[in-house]
This record gives sequence, C-alpha cells and structure tokens, in this order.
Amino acid sequence: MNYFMGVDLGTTSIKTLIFDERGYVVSKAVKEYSYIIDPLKRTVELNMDELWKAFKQSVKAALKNFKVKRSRIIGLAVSDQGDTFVPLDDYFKPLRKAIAYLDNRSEEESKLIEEEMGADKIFKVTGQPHVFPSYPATKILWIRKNEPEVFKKTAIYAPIESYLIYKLTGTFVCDYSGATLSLMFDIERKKWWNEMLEFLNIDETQLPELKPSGALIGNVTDLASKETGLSVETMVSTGAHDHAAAAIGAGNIKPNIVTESTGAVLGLVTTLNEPVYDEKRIIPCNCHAIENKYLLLLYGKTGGMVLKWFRDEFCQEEIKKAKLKKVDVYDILAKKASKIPPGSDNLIMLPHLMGAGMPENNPKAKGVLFGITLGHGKGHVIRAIMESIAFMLRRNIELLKEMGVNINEIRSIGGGAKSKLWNQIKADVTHIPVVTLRIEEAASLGVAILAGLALKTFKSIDEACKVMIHFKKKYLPNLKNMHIYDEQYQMYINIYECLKNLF
Amino acid sequence: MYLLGIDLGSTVCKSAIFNLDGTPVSIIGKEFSSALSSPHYGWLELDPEAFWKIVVECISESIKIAHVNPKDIAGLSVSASGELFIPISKNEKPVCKAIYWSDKRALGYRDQLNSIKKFGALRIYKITGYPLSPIPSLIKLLWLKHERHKLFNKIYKILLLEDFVNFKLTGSFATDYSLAMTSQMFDIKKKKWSSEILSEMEINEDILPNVYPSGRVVGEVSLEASKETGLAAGTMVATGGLDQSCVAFGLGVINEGEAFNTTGTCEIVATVSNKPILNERSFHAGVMCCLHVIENKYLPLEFLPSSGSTLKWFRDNFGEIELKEAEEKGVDAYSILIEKAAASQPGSFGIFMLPHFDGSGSGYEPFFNPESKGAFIGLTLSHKKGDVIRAILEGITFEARLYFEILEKLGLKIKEVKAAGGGAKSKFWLQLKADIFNKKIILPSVTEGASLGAALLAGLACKIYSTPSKAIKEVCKEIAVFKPNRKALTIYKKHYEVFKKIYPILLPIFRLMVKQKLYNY
Repeated sequence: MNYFMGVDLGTTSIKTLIFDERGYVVSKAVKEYSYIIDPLKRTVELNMDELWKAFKQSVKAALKNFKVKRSRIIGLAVSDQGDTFVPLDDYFKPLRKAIAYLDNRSEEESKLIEEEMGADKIFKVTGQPHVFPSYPATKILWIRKNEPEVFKKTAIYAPIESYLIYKLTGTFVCDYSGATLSLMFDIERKKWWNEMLEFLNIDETQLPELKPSGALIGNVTDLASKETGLSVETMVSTGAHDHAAAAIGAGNIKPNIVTESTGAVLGLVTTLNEPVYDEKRIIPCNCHAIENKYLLLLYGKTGGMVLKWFRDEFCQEEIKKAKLKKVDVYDILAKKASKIPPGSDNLIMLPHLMGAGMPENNPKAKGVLFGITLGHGKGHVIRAIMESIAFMLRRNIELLKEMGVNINEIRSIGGGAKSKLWNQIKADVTHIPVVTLRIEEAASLGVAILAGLALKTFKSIDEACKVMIHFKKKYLPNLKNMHIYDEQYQMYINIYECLKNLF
Repeated sequence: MYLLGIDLGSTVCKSAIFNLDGTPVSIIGKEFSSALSSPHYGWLELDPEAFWKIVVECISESIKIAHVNPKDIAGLSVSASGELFIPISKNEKPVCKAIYWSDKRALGYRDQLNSIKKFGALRIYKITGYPLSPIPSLIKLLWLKHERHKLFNKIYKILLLEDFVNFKLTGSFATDYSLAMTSQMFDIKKKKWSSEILSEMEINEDILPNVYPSGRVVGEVSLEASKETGLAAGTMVATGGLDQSCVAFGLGVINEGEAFNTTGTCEIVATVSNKPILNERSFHAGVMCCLHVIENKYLPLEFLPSSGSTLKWFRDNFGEIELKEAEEKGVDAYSILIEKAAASQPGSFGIFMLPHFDGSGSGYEPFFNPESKGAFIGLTLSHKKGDVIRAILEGITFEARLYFEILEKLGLKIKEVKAAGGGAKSKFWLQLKADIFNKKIILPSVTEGASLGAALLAGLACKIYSTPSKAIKEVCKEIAVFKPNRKALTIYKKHYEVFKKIYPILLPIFRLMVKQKLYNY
C-alpha cells in the first residue's frame, strides 16, 4: 500500500494528514502558528522561519505516528491561502516578513490599481471583480513605495505554497489556483499578466514558474529530508489554493455542486466548466485545481464565529458543564437549540457581527437580534444564530442562481458540518440536500488526491475522488420546515433592507 | 398608631405597615404568578380566589412580623394596578377567571378595538383619558360580551382589584376615581360612569361598583375578614387608588412641575397637571390622562409594558453565572449584572435595544402594539455581555426619555424626577437616567411609593393628616440626588436620535410578520 501526505496551511494552523490509497487517514497532526498583528498599521505578517519551523513540526508529528516505512509516502502536496506571500533575495532568503492576505496596509494602492488599470479590464483578465488589499499585487506596489530597498533586492515574490515547495525540492513553482489570487494572473490564458507586471514595474522572472495543480515537481532533497524526516523518495507535486483543494476533497469537481464551509466564516465554492463573470461584480472567478475548470468563490464576513461569540459571552455555564462532563460545548448548545421549533418562534438574527460579506457587501452592517419576546430563551437565540448562517448560505446560493449557476447538492465541510442539527437546518432553508464527509479536513484530502494524480496512482480526477472520498450522511430537506423557513428568509432579507441605512 | 397600605402590583402583592412619619415597620411582598395561568398561547388569566389567598398571607404576615397590636392599625387602603377586573355573580362568587391586562387573545382584541374605533377613539379618549389600547377593562368586558355571552349574562358586578379587596374586607362594592379611570368607561371630568359609553356599548351601569374620591371611608373590616387576615374587626378601610397615583402621592409628587419615573415590571413616566390633558395631540402621543389620588389633579402618564421584566428575562436566560455568584456572595444577581453594564461605556459601544419585549408602549402610534417585539441592533464580535446588559438599561431609559419629551411637548414643564420601583435600587441606573433624561433624579426614602401612598390615603380618611401636603411633609424624605454628567449627556443625545428611528423603521416588518401569520395570538 502507498500513502500520500496532504498538508493544509489554514489561517491559524498547519494540518498534516497521511492518507492511504483508499482515502483513509492513517496519521494526523496539527500545529498552530501565529501572525504578527499591528492593528494601528493594519498589518498582519508572518515570520517565515517560524512558519517553516511549524511546518516541520507538523510534518514530523504526523510521521511519528506513521508506522510504515516513510518511503511508502510516495507523494506530498500543500494547500495554502494563495494570497499570502514573501519577497526573497538572490539567495532565496526572506527580505522581510511575509505579508498575509489579512493584511490591510495597501488600501491606497488597491484604489490606485483599480483606477489606473480599470476595474473592467482587471475583472476580465484576472476574474477578480474588485481590487482589495488582500491581493499581493497591491502589496508589491506598497513595497515599491514604502520599502524601496526590498523592492530593488527582490529576486522572487513567493506565495507560501511556492516557498514550501522550494524548501522541499529547491524549485520555485506556483499552481494556477494560487496564482489567481495574486491579481497578476490571466485566468484564461494561464499566464502571468504582463500589463499588470509592467504597471507594478516587476519582471516575470521575479515570479515562480506556473504549473497546473497536481504536477510533479521533484523529490524531497537531502537537506529537506534531514530537516523534516520525510523520505527522499517522496515526490512533491503542486497543490492548490485551499478553497480549490477543499472542493476536490469534497468531490466538488463538476458543476451543480457547492461546497459549503462553516468555519469562522462561511465560504462557498462551486465548480464551472467555463469561466463565468458575475455581471453584478460581486463574485470572483478563479482557476480550479482541475485542468480547464474554474470555480466561483463566495464568502461571508462571519459564520461559525457568531456562535463562538455567543458561546464565549453568554454560555459560561455550559462551557463549565462541558469541561466537567468532557463533552463538546457546541453539543450542549445544539441540544438546547434542537428543542426549539424551526423558525425559533420568530426570533430572527442577522449574523453580520463583522459586517456583511456576500451578497450584501456592507462592511458597516452589524448583528441584529430581531423579534424578541419575554418567552424566548437561550435555545431560541442559539437556533436563531444557526438559522441565520443558513439564510446567509441561501442568499449566496440564490446569487449563483441569478448568474445561471444552479446548485442541486451541498457538500458541507468545516467545523459547522459536525452539527447534525445545523446540517438539517441548512437543507431545510436552502431546499437542497446537504451531504457530509467522513473526513473533516477536506483541503488536506484534496491535495493528497492531487499528489496521487501527479503520480498516476489514479487515472483521472473522477476515479481519484470515487476511491478517496467517503460520504457520511445525506440530509434531505423537510417539506414542512421548508415552508416555515421560506417566510422567515423573506423577513431576514426585509430586516436587512430596513436597517441597512441605520448601520 | 399605624397605617397599613396594600399594593397590588402587576406581578407582586405587598402589604406594608407604616409609622405615622412614613417609616415602614414591616413590608411583605409576594409574587402572585402562581395565581396566573395561560390556557392558550397569548392568553393570561388570574384566579381570583388564589389571588385573594396571597393577599391574605401578605396582610397577616406583615402584622405578625411588625409585632403590632392589630387594633393599633388606624386604617388601611389599597393601591392597585388598573384595568384588570373580577366579574362576580349574584351570589358574590367569581363568574370566571379574570383576564390579565397584558392578555393578547383574539389577535390582540382586534374586534373589540374595532368597536371602540366605531365609537370613535378620540371621542372615548376625550371622555375617559384612555387612548385606544387592548388593555383597559372595557375591551375585556366587550370580549366577554361578544365571545362568552352566557358568562357575561351572569355578571352581577365587576370589581377592579382594589374593589375586590375592599369587597372581601368590608362587603361593599366601592372603587375610586383613579382606578375607575382605567376601565375606559369613566368620565374623568364629570367623575362618574359615562352613560354615553355605557349606552352605546350596551353595558348596564348596575354591574359597575360605586365610585368615590380616594381616601374616603368604605367600611370596616368584617368579622370574617378579620379571622382570615389577622386585622382587627372594625378597622377602617378607605378607598385607595390606582397604583401609579398612589406612587405619586407616596413620593410626594402632587404639584405641577413634579414628575416620577417607575422602573418596575413596567416602565412608567408621569407628571402632575391641574387640568385634564385630553386634546388631539395628547391622544396621538398615547398619553393616558390618569387621575391623581389628590382631588382635582391629573396625572398624564406614559408607559411601556416591559421594563424590569426584560432585565429579569436576561437574568433568567443568560445570567446563570451571575445567579450563582449572587447566591454564593449573598447579594442580588441584578447588582452583579448591573456591575457588568457599568464596566461598559455610555452607548454600549453601539448596541441599540428596542425594549418592546412585551409589545410597544405609549409614545408612538400604534400604541401598545402587541405586534412589536424587542430587538438588539448593532452587535459586533467585540461586544461583551456587559455591553448587552447596558444596552438593555439604555434602551428602556431611552424609551422613558421619549415619554418625558412627549409630556413636555404638551406644555407640562418638568423640573425634576423622582425615581421609584425596583430600578431605583441601582445607583448606576439612576445616574444613567439623569444622563439620558438630562434631568435631576431624586431618590426618595421610600421607593415602594404605592403602599405608602395607600397608607397615607387611609391616614387622610381617618384625619391623622389634615391635608395631602401636610402628610407629605411628615413622610417624604430625599436620600440622594443624581445630576446629569455633561460628557455622558452628549453621547446619549446622539444615541437617542438613532434610537427614535428604530421603531418606525421596524414597524413595516412587524406588520408583515402578522400578515404572513408568523405571529399568531
């Protein structure tokens, strides 16, 4: 039996999973890492030495529990948040800390790029409807202005995945799905976009070589083998941006399926055979990690974090109880919510506690708890929060429908998918079946599948997904609940519309 | 000598014995929620006999723990919440349970409200001082007449809460002007039952009790009642008054320019007027023109059904930790919750709260709208529990400010505000009131003014005090004064402007919820 390692660089931790050829997890390790945040400068940075250290620790920990010969791990791939990057010098040493996608220093540069290059053109070429400070291009411009020394000395601007592949194999490559988020990539021609590079005054040689996802790059070098404990026989291939990787890990490889992830924020991904450009200029169109496919990426500004906020502020008693009984506090909360009828007796929540993402796109929006009476209790509030995230999901699915993209199945991943109640609520609210997976770490599984494809263990992506992905449960919409939620959903929209000018 | 005042509030019944200088000798309070029941969603009814039992317990316990000779109690009066009435039959037994004032059956009494509208909402207001609302006795009486015809025909007398206790103690059917006003059948200028309303609504005046000014002798405690309560037989019983009018008297609010704000289950704002306020403007502002227990004075009043009840709701649903901590430390859980609110900042970091947890109040049309509900607006991830608690206090207090503003726009100048009710126990909340109202808040020695006011009425009836103002001089003391803080004032002024917009903005949604039958009563 052969094995594949999938490493996922999440927002706060590095998850390393080793899968066998049938998609079963044989070892798993999670290592947290942290950002250097300056709220005044609105900067969020990463120390690359720390990150590499965390990566090594995560890989080592996973290998420790792996009782088979390490050379049996024949393939490895990494998923990351494609828009975090680091400038390297001629010796490929970091010239400064990496700048994370969460970093907002380049607001001015974003505006400048949008004005100078034209939003229409940027959208047509890169698939990105608006220029936000999350894009590396805006930060390269910032470096040019504010750190001219770094700008002058930079030999290569490396996304995190590229950097890690370089550390493992000595080669600089970047996959299309990750390159999409640089704002310097032509998504249809699959090339760096020269006009943007010229505008930024950088050269194509300062960017990694472009490759599709699941392309074989090379063996783990001796040095990397010593540092990580990986075998030199392990072959590294290109991975993917985490949304694309998670889509693959959930079997979202053809149209009409949406992967829904209720982590801290709600994210949706759907696969397209051809690029679709949102006329309303809300949804970005990105390269998928499958050749010639694209994906639409939708996200809220909140999600599971609303329930977490409620848990931390108003459920101290339940937290204590959970510790005492050694159970998950969310299970206690879900139990309370499950005793409340669908619709929470007309208690309606707007979950915009960090502003509203898609489709409202209103950073000024706030959270609202509407329709409270003396008869409502804690269970009502918990259920109303869960329902509000499902309403947010439905709004985004309807947004897709307006673009002509119909969805007939939801694959739920992320922390929220653990809650049976929540999955059922999502099915009832959206009228679409919700399917959950055995494995929570869909992104790690996704890149492991890509590694398997690179090594030709599987003939095709379809076959790989069929073998590697195992479903857990399918939640069908309940007709009676659907009616209740239809009316409440209208109210959810109405409440927002009424209050949006007040925020 | 002593005086006894009974206060029948909206959830608590109290019996208090006072020295003649107003200091309490004993106060016994009991919740009567056990006498309330809800047979259907939105319905709420009071069992008169169970209620009477609780009143009896309060009276006898207050005598016991005061260690006074019952014969030394010179007299007693009852202060009562209005509207709620007990229908009794010829054999002097309750015909059915009493419909609680906040009962929301029959779609919030839509049909009955329509009958009033037919009569003319402004017309009935100009007679009774009571704005269009599902709360007054008339609405509930009409419901019985329309929907429970057989029961209605059995009614011999309807007794408001005060009258019921007066009847139980003395056997007479007597009410007073201020309480009669809450029936929406009483002509407050002529001081008698309105024949105009009664004839058009086809209600026989015979079923209504006799009406007297407050502080007039009704009768003496009967032998039977004496055995039940421990009161001496022959103890004088005088007419009391509407709880809010008694509160005003007990707090010493008897002249124009004086006002009070009660934070109990409900939130109440009222001031004194020498003339009845019964014009179109006050009608559209939802002002209830109550009668003072002081003869020929009026008490224009505005109120919100849920105030302290909202804080209690928060405590019971989200305050487990605070309840435990309070038990361990032997303090009140509210004080711990309010401490957390105090740690927040004026404006609660941007949370606004619509305090309509039991429907809207007066102040905005539609008044006492059961369709309106509570809301928190402006929540963010950085908000703490204390911010939400503070938003509750601020939301309630903004609503009260709205009421002050309405009264002042009607030409009633308000110089200072006396605080009453459970909310007056919190210094923090009193300061908050001063900052939000931009008025001096005075904390009187007795914040449970209703039972004191009732006791004073008994004192007037048995000539212990020669006039109301002399009575007040004897008993009313100021403990503390809270002045507005300029910095907080500016912040609250801005927040208040936003607060005022919330109800009108949300109103269409509340209406839609009803239209879609999402709210069913």
